[in-house]
Amino acid sequence: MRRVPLMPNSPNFSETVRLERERRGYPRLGSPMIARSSLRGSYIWMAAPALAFAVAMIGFPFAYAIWLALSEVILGSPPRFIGLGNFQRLATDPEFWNGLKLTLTLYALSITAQMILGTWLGLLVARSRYAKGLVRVILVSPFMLPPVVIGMMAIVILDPSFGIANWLLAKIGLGPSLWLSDPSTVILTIAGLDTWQWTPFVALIVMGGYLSLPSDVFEAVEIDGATPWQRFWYVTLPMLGPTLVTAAVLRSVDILRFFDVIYLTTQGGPGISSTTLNILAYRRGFEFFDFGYASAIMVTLTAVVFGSVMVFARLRRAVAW
Amino acid sequence: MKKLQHVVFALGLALGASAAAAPAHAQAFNWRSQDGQTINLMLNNHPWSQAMRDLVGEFTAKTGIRTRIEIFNEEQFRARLTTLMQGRSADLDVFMSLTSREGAVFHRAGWYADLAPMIANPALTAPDFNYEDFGASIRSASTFGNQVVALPINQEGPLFYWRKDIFARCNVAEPMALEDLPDAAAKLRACDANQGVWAARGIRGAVPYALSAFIYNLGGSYALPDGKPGLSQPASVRGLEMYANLLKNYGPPGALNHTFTQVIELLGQGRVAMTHESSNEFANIMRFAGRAQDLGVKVLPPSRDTRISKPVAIGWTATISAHSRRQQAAWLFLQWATSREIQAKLVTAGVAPPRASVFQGAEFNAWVAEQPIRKAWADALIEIGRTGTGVYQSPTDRVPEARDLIGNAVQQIVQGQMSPADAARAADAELAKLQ
Amino acid sequence: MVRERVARLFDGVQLVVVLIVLALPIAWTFLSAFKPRTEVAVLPPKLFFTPTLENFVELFARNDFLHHTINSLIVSTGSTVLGLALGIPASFAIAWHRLSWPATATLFARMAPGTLFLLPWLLMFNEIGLVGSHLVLILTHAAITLPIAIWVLLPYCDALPRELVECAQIDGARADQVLRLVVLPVIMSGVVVSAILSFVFSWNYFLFALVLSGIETKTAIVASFNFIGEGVTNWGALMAAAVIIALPPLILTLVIQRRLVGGLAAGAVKG
Repeated sequence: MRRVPLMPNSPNFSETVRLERERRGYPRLGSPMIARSSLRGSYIWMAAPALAFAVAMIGFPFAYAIWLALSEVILGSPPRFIGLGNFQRLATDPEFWNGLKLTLTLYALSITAQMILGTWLGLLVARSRYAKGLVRVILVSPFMLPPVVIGMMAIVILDPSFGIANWLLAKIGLGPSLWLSDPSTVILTIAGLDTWQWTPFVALIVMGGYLSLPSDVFEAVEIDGATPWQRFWYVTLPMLGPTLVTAAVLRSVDILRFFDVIYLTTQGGPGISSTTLNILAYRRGFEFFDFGYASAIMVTLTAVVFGSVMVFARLRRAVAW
Repeated sequence: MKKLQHVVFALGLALGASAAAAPAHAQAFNWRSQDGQTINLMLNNHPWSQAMRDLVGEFTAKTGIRTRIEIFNEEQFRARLTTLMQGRSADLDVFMSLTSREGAVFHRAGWYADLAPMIANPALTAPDFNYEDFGASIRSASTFGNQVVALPINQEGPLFYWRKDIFARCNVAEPMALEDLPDAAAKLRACDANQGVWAARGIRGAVPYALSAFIYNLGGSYALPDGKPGLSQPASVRGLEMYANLLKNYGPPGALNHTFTQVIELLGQGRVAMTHESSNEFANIMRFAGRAQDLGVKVLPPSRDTRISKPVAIGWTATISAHSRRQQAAWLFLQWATSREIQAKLVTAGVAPPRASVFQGAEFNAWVAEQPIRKAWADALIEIGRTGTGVYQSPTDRVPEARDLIGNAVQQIVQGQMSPADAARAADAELAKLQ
Repeated sequence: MVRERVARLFDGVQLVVVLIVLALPIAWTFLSAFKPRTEVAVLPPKLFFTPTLENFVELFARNDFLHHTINSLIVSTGSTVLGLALGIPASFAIAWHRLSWPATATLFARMAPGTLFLLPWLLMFNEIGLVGSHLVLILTHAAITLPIAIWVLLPYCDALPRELVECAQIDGARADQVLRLVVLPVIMSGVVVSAILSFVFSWNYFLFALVLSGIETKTAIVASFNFIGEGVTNWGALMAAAVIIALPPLILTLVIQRRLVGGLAAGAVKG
């Protein structure tokens, strides 16, 4: 095995990985031009059925939603085309801006916590000899519970007056918290709930990715005498890059549209302190029967989600090794 | 002359025959006229729906019509109903509707079949159906213009529940006037700091249901004489203030997220001494150990000054979809479900019937005799059926939105963001935009 | 050696902590399913109680939950298989050509709020008479499972050694043989993960089934909401439903997670 000179605290571990891959003739994924030139045979048609299916399923709904968003559709009155009227109304609606702010705050808190904890948990479970079989399954199980149960569980556990959370806090000598009932803590609490439920999801993806990494690279680094932290930072993490992008994309689309648990526990309150964009759209549409405006909110939310996915889709190239 | 007599006689015969034929035709009403049909029912999760699911076999036995019942919780019920009706789905024959809330909008959207011609047609309607047995106010809540859109299936409203044992232990008298509530709350708090005192709804959209009797009894209302929003009238503000302050000073922590789910847990587990919560929860509360013995229930007491008692009383209804292709079979179901016989059975499942006559039946009396509190509950329901109102927001078609704004005013007062007068004024300004 | 043992011990401690945080609420749910309905939310929680099966009786005798669960099994299995069948070749093609946009395009079904699809899909599938069938639920749920399959498989396909495929090409393998004999064995771990995730997402998704299912095809997750409501909240039955709903994905995960170690680590590169 070829040796690469190692300097402590330098990115040479990833250099080791790169050279190791080169030695074995793996392509350099970071540079698409080179990759494309080495293309032999085209397989793009293999993506055609999936694309055709997706277009067939979502084409009409999107066209319909955009037509709705450009019209005034209030139940009981004939629909009327108003162009960008709904979007002008959005721009001056404080509830919309509040909803956007809450959606992004919730997103930032949740995605950060879930990616960090999920990576940690995924690696822990993957390498631990104790975590096999049932233990492993239990560790990834919270996201398998139905959303209504998570919501009702949150009601029972976090209720400030009869919930077990404050009871436990009191037992260990801490003061009570209002959790979901205080405008200043509600988003944090929801982020916590979501993190509890979905960190294992990230962990499962990371675990799968880690277990399929080429083990001889790790052996090479092991022989070079790297500390566990160096190994994680310069080898494991870069190699997990694409896996982490996948986890982040799949979590992003869901956190930004997060609905069930918020609606069950607070219905967007107190006040409008947890009325995220998706909650706002639901209330405008199905509670207040203002479908055109609700659709405009949904289209805008979709654009926000699309933006975040685009960021990660670009990252996919940057982190490829 | 004789000939003429014959003619007259013959004529008389013919007339008599045709006169006889008319009732014969009217009696052509037949419960089995739609034998073999299948109808789809979509119900909101409610004690009535649960009871229906258990009773509907009797309907099939009587009519030969098979039923397929789907029950959804309210949030999902709304999403499914709205989507199916907008899609003009013919799969839906009968659905539940809260006409006091959404009736005007659904009526304009053309979702309800017109029941008036069916009620008037003796070939379609059982002779003993007696539509007038439903109270006038109940009937009017589901009538738009000449169109009868739905039949009432129950009546419900918030009731005042209080723990007689705790009141006795603390030497606090049963509140006889609305103004006694804050005093009673203060005395209970002073008597036992560990006993929760008060709980009530705090979630915006759910608040007005429990709040409105406070406003009405104190002499307030949601509308000015000219129909403009009137939450900022002094008496209305007093009502807002009393409700919000009870919640703020004596309510449980986290009350702003509370709705029936939490309030009933608190009352059932014995964590609060009083509340103002739905009559529907009665059967659920009785399941908790001890509550059947130590609880009292009655209509929220009237104000001492105004002597007004104007509780909220609403009723769910059953209605036929305008897109249904089996309207006659559906109509038979509606008649059966709202008949005196079936409503008498529903009482024992905790569903208060809209037909006042049911409260005098033998079945009902036997059920009441088992527990004294049942009598109190039934009496309260009879009373709100007589004195209650289903209108508890400023005049508008956009009812859910208006109630949301009213609930928001309460939340602002509880959170200390605004004074009651300011919150009411701000709400009025928003409410005016919905008119 | 000592250091390694300390590290392992530290791992064990972390695992115990995580296990407590993650599993306690789940354990509470499972215990609650065997409590009378009025005792579920009681504080302090009752650890010792006389277990009852009344909640499960409510579930199966009055609510036909078995039927709903079977519907869920049909829909989730169908949509997972369909999602993977479309997603595996697509993911390979997308990775091979170093693209991103097709993956993003299929994700659109998950970028919009689910409510946006309800009415258009009802109109669309009413037109071809599919509303109320299992097929319509499989198709709509596959719109969710497909992007999950593609995105989960992408990193595995990206890491696929190109020479493997090129060797097969030189040997004259057809495209389907490349996929089946070369690609699939190497990305097996990814297939396992995406199968688990697809199944769980389809299993727990209720919005489409809420509108597009009929009475006979209603899924368990839709029925799980029916235990809450004014005057009818039944905590016990809700928790029992949670147990029944959580079991199939858990069993599936338990059975197929053994295949997680595979792919490159198993030495497929040598071939």
